[in-house]
Amino acid sequence: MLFNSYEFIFAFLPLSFFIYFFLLEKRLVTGAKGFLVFASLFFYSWWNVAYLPLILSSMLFNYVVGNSLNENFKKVQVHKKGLLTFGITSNLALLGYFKYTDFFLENFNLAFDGSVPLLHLALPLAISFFTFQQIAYLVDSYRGETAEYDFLNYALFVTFFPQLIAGPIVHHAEMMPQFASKWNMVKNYKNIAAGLFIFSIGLFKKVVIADTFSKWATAGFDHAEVLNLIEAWATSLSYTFQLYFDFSGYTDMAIGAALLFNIKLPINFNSPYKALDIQDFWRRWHITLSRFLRDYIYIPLGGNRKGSFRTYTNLLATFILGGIWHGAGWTFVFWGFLHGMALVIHRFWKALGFNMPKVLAWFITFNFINIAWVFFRAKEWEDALKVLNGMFSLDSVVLPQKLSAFFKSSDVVSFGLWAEDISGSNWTAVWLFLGFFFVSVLKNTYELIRYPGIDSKLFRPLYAGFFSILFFVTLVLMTMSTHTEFIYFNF
Amino acid sequence: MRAKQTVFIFFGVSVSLILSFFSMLYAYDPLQLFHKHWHGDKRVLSRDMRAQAAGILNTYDYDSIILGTSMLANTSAKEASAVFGAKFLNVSFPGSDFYERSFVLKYALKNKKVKKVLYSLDDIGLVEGRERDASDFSYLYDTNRFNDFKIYITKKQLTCLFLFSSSPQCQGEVRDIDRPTAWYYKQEHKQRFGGMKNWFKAKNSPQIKKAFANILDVTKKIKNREVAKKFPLEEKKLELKNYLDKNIISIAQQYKDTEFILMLPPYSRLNYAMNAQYDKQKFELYLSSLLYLVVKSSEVKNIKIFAWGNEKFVDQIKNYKDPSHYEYTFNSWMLKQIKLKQGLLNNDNVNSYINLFKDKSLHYDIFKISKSIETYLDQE
Repeated sequence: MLFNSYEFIFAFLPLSFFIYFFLLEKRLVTGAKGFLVFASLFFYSWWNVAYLPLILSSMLFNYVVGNSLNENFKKVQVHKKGLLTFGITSNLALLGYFKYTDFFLENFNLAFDGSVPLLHLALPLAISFFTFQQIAYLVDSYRGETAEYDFLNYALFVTFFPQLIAGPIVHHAEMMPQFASKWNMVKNYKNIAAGLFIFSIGLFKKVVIADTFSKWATAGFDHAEVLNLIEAWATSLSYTFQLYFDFSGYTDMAIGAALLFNIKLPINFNSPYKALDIQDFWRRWHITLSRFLRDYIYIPLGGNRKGSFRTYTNLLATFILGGIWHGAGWTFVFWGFLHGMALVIHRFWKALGFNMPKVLAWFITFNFINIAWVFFRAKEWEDALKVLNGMFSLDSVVLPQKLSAFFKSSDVVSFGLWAEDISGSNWTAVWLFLGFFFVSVLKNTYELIRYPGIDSKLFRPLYAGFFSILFFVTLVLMTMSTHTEFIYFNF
Repeated sequence: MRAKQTVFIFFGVSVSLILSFFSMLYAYDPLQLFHKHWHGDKRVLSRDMRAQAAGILNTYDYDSIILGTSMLANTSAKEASAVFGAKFLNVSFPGSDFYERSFVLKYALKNKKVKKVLYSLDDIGLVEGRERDASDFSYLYDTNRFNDFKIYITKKQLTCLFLFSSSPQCQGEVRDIDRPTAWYYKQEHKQRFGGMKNWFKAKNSPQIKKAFANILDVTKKIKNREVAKKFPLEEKKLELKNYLDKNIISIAQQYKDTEFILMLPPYSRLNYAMNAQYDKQKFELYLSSLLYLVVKSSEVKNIKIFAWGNEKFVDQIKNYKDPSHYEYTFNSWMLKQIKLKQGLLNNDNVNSYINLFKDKSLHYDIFKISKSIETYLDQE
């Protein structure tokens, strides 16, 4: 079930909310948790019930391993480590089987001129997210940072529907105390109001902004054969904005929906396109994934504790793995490599004590991110090169006819239909301008709400009216939208 | 307290907006999905019959329907009602395949007890087995009436709604409910009947241009002894049988009290001859689908198959405005023929019908027509 669907907004979410709190009012705490797990599994199975046994067995396995790690806390270190290694390897094997088998076979066939048939396995929804979340749980259990003896609680931690499909990736220790708190077992109107506002903003970001940009990004990357300078930049920027508004819109909806149940999920985005360097970007973009990569890959590899060279290689390795996590393809690996290299260069630059004017720093950071997204989005290398060629070639500049009064036509510059090959119009320029404005000038959702606290100034009729109009307009526009699925559902 | 008030205001405003919006859409209802027009001319209908048919079936009375393409668009519902003693509505839509029509058909049958269905077996379904994507209108024909509003939530319709406009762009034009998609009275079509000379006069018509190009191309290929591109014939025959089962026969089996009168629209002999003499596989598909339906009609008693492909008027080009479309008088003629059971095919007469049909199509002189076109074009 999609957050941006009528069945979720008008049926699933309100029903889940009322039944959950009804059961809590009747002091049926276990029943309420059980119901929430059931509702979440129903939400998950809505796409394809065939995936249900997979997530259930994954949960059961990790619960048993996690519990064993806790019980064996005082036993010999080797045994615990072996169990942890077994747990992590099994999780990675499951993820690897579904996500990377064909990628491996394709490359094997290519390298050894083989003809091993591909398996064409369908990627089970959310597998990357629930696998990482459970690996984190195992490591936390191993470290003695968390413990769970109740399978229902554990199932709730993994399946809680707002964060199940595409994060935020949460720690057991930050979720379960919230479900256990007595304060959270009664309806909290502050949280409900803030949740509704955040959900409305997220829905607007997805339906109105991201889906608008997706038309041009899809046309440019997937359909156009050649792109001129303006079309290529419009394509790459459209995707840069689409991805941000799609994923941050999803996260807003997840955080908003969770707040209705008095659960505060960690924030995942903090105006990432305002970043002034690449390290700053990764502190603002997909924050819970960055946190996972830092805590469970970069630091265990040695982090920055083993000298500069090891720090650089650790950074590079972490980001290459981050790239692979996003998808089984060399373009994702290269995207991870680019970001890893950028972080290495940034560290080196900092170590030398250099500084840069803020505007220039923003310009370089934003453009690097925009260019790197080209590899992230392209289905094939050829698509990436097509967009990059257009972006950096002055062979063809097609300007709108209206500008012919201001520019002379030449071998390079001609006048015609604006961004024709990406189905663009004058509105494309307006939207790109708005995109820049939204990401670089406006406050983000959490600054506005002051989340994870909640700004009581929001509780005014004017705001309520504004957000309800925003919600209504988005609902109407949702009917016209043809691009519905969230990008991160593919990862 | 302020937070609680905020939540109530949020829901209050949202619910009010949603209710007002849907009330406005309900009141405006240009396709008459929910009620007949409350304002403007009551006879206004949209030209988009794929959607408009839902409105017609929802708000007009009927116990029988005419469902075809442009071949049945000129059939008068009033006349059919008089001939068969029923209350017909004509919901034919141009260029429709059997898959698209299946949504309308099932809906009409579910909505009311239907006595008769007059249905044209056009090449688009009978030979091509086309399944055009119907997702842009099929929801109008499901059991959920609420999702019908979706058809009005487009930029164009919302603009119309806020202006409460009854302009033709918004609501459509005045059309006779007797035959809403009829074209017989339109000058650009009317003037092309009467023979080849009138086709020449209308040389700029896209249908005529296409017909000329096609005729010249086919005759050239026949002269050069070229054969049409081949495809796996038996596979396609099987595919078509499944297509006919799914979109017509299974529905007829489900509604045993409804008489399904399936008629092969009598295209011009020129049309059949081009297939028989050049695109032989296509011609064979036409005949095999026809044979299959006739055999099926002996099992499914409420199906009747009518065809008039061996009639003399089929050989005379003056009765056609292009290789397919006949004059509207034949729509009346066909109704009477059906009433008299003339042209009814069954297991006993289908083979002799097919043999004669083949013979006539194979021996029709296409070259005479192509020559006259060439002469005309040379003079031009």
